[in-house]
Formats: sequence, C-alpha cells, structure tokens
Amino acid sequence: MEDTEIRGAPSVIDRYFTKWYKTDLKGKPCEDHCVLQHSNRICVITLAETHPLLQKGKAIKSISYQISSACSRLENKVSGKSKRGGQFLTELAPLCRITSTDGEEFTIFSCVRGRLLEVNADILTRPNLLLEKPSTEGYIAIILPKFEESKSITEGLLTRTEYEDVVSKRAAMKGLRNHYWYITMQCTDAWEGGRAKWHTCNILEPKKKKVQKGELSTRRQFLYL
Amino acid sequence: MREKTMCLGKDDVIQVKEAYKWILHSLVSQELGVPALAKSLFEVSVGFKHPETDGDCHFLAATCSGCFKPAKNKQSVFTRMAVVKALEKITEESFRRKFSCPPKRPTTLCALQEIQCLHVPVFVAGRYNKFSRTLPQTPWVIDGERRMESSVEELITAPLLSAFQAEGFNFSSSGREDVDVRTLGNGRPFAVELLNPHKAQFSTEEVHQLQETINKSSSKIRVRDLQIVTREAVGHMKEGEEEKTKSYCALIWTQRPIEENDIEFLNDIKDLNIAQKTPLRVLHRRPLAVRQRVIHTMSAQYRDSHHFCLQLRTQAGTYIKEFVHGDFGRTRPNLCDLMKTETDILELDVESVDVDWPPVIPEPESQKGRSSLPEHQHKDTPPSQEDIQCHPLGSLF
Repeated sequence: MEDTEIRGAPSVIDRYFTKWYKTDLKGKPCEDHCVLQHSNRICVITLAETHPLLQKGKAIKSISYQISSACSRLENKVSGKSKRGGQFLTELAPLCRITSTDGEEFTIFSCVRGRLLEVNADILTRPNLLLEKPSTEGYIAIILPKFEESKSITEGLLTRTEYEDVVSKRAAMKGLRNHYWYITMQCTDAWEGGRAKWHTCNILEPKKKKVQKGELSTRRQFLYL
Repeated sequence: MREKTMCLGKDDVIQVKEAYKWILHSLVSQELGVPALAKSLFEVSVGFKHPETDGDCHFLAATCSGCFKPAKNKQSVFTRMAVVKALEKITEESFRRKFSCPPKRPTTLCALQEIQCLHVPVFVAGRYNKFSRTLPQTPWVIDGERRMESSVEELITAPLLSAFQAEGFNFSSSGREDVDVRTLGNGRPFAVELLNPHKAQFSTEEVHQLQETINKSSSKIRVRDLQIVTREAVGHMKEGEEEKTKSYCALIWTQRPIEENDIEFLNDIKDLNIAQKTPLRVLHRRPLAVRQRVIHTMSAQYRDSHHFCLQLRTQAGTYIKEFVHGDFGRTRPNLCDLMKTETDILELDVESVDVDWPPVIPEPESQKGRSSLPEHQHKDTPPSQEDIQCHPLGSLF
C-alpha cells in the first residue's frame, strides 16, 4: 500500500476499512466506484482512482443530488439508533449526477444494498474536494447495510487485487490495439446515400485514435489477422 | 356505642398487614436474638401457601370482569394488582352480599413455600489506570466469540465478586476509553454494584487489601481510592461523564514536513468550537447527529519533521481521534484544517479525568515507604511488544 510506505504507519482507511470495487458501472467504460467498508459494516461510497472524473484535465461544472423530480438524496433524514427514515437503496440506485466542464455527465451509484445515512453536502459548495480527496473528504455517500446482509453485500464487488487485475487488463488491451496491424478503409459515399462502398486506403498500419464523437466517420480500421 | 363506631374513618382502621407485622416482628426477634426492622440491609422473604383460601377472591371476577384480563406470563388471572383494583371498584353492598365479613375461620394452617434471603447491593468505587493498549474496558465478544483477552471490568470485578461473595455485578464508569488508549494520571472513576453480597461488612484495611490484590493480579491496570460508597454517591460519577473536562496526550503524524515554529500557534488557541458529526466508527450504534464541542486548550511538543505530541484539554464527549484526522471531513474544524496538511493520530493517552469523585483515600501508615507504582512509570518505560499495535513508529517513542 503506497500510503503506508510514505508514512510508515497504516492510514485511517488502512486501519478501519476494506476497499471494494465496482467497475464499468452500467457498462460505461472506466466509471469505477470504490466502496470503503468499515469493520462495523458501514460503507462509504467514493470514486475509484480510475474514474474519468479523476483523470487529468477534468473540472466539475455541477453536482446534483436531485436524482428525479420526486427524490433528492439531500432530503434524506435518519433518526434514532436504528436510522429510521433513511432511503433504502439497491445496488444500482443513483446517488448523484455530476457534470464536467467539457459537457460529460456521470451518475454515481450506490453499489451496495442498504439504508442511506447521509450524502456529502460539502462537495456541493467545494467540488474540488471530490477531485483532490476523492477517498476521504470528497466521499459521495454513507450507507448502512442490514445487519444480516453485512457479509453478502460485497459478493458483487471486486477486491483490491481483482480491481488491479481489471485495470492492468484494460491497459494491456489498449496496448494490444496499438500492437496489431489494421487495414484502413474509407467509404466513398456518405451513410445517407444508402449502402456504403469501401475501398482500401492504407494497408497495415497501427491503430489510429478514434475520431471525435459526433463526426461522421468515413474511415474504419479493420483488424488484420 | 354505635354512634362512636360510625365516626371511624378509613385511616382509623389498622390494616391487618400492620397488626401482623407488629406481632410477628417481635416474636421473630425474640426467637432469633436479632433486631427485626421493617427496612434493613438484609431482607428475608418467606412465602406461604394456603390452598384452602386460594379461591376466596374469585368472586370478584364476576362483579368486576374488566380487572381480570389473562396475560401470557401470568399463571393466574388473580394477581395482587388486579384484586386491589377490583376491591376499589366494588361497592360495599355488593361485597357484603358475595363475601362474609368478617371472613370464616379457616380449618387448615398455611404451609411454608420458600425462604429467600437478599442483601441490598453494595457499591464499591475507585479510580482505575489502564496501561495496556490491548485491553478493552468491557469484555469484547462478537457472535459469542471473545475477540480480546480479558478487560478492565473483569480484572477489577473478579476479586470483588469473590471477596464479597456476590451473585452478580453492574460496572459503570465516568466515560470510557478505546482499547488502544491508555488511562494515566489519577485514573478514571468507576463504581461496581455488587448484587446480593453474602459478605457485606468490610473494614477500611480489608478494602485496601482488596485494592492490593487487584493491583497485584495484573500489570495492565491499577486501582486507587477503592472504597465502599452509597448508591447516591454514584450519581457524582455519571455527572462527571457529561459535565467535566478531560485531558489527553496524542502522538500526531503530519504528511508535510514541519518545523518547531509550525506548531507554536496551537498553544495560543483557546476554547475552539468544533462540530462533530457522529464518527463513522460508532455510527452503526449511535444516532446520526452533530455534536458541538469545545477544545479548551492545546499544547504542542515537537518531535521530528513528521511528528509532534499534542496535549489537549477538552469538553466531555469530544472525539479526539476524529478531531485529529477529520473523519472524512465530518469534524470541522479539525487538526488537518488547522495545520493545513493531512494529520493522523498514532497514539492517544488519557492524562486526566477531571472529576473530584470518589474521595481520595490516603495510603495507610504501614504502606508508606513501600514501593508502589510511581505515577508515570509506565509512561516512560518503552512500550512492550504487545502494547504496540500495528504502528512500527510507535517503538521509536
């Protein structure tokens, strides 16, 4: 653990929490979440380090806990020791929506079943907390799983090792794509004109970066086997 | 004569119960050669049964059926409370019709059912020190499995239970500390309620002997000012938990390198108001709330570029660990905010619990000069292997 090496002693997270991961939420690539599970079963939902929002150059435009016209996570109120009144969440319940300055929208999900105790209101006024300290002050929400379910909630989640596996496989795939040779073909007619005609423009070159979203792509690269 | 009797009010009539006590107590007292008191430290309860008259009150069920509701736990519907309630409801005429007054003379004697002896609880109070970082205050059991060896509670109460020959106990103290926190200084006030002690008379010397027994049994704790107190006195201790201040000493780690003058400003901070949301580590068993607390004074001693020792005097109920590391930003302001860097707490000691109770018991003359543990002996000795939790740095201090 990097943290321990620098400081010489386990951090608060190392001492009390186990890290669990859920990757590619709702099929969206790299939208990874990290669930910090305390030894007392309470779960803190945070962004994993590979989440697009935490990559270089991203800035936050807005954060909203209003996930539908009828439901705002900010209005969640719990009372008493048994935390009555907290919204009960399933794994794919949305917690909040975050919009970045470059127009991308991300939804953060619960990842675990349980009662919502609180959402982090601080990130509404200081969104930088989320970017700078995603694992601590920039947490998204705190969830209390049912006592009987405290062990089973992690069944659908990845351990740190499994997560690291997924991340390194992603990097390898990326590398692989650059390693193989492709035939680049271009179509002569636009899509609207009916079936497209393709001719080869380049043969055997490495994978080129994808074109920007929204542009009509007239070039395609096909894997040469 | 008739007119005279009609002037009697309810209170002028002696209850059968009182007359019975007056007669019986003096008879028992004579027979056993001890004084018999209505209220005493030692209660003997003698139960009798008399099947012949068991059914006497059953007629009340017909007249006041509302008073007699069957319940799961009750053997008979005719409980004392229910009968009393019915007697208040029933009219005199109705009563006289159903039951002869005075009642008929029974033909059998009553028989002994059981004798129970009970001594009122004895309260033993004192102050305890905890020198170990691997000793919980109360037994730590999860799912029937013990997670940690022994506890402060067991080390103190075991010798007391056997000396007083008590059947059970209730342990309470003026606040608590975590497993990994030591309690130094004068120690933390505690009180043990010993239930049904078979031996309740102890001299001051005998109590002091008990204190020595506890102290010899383990080096992990130390008890002082052990004494027998009244139930009312125990209230002082609980007062302490909510109202009195506590002093602590914490070993702090900082992420950014610091110099001596970087921590001087902490000494000047007085009565800092902080807002603490319920710490995550206790949130599973406490309600979610924000607690306003005050840090009265602080004092910092530099150790090296990433460590310093912080002494604090705070309001009762302040979560020190969370003030130091911030608890995900849920305690504000916290030490990270003040120091403008990530800080963490490596070790914590309770230096004093500022409650004036129980009264100090001076060491008896015979004990003076004996080598009893000096105040901070344990603080200055290097911590033993078992005391250091997973903090390799702990061994340097």
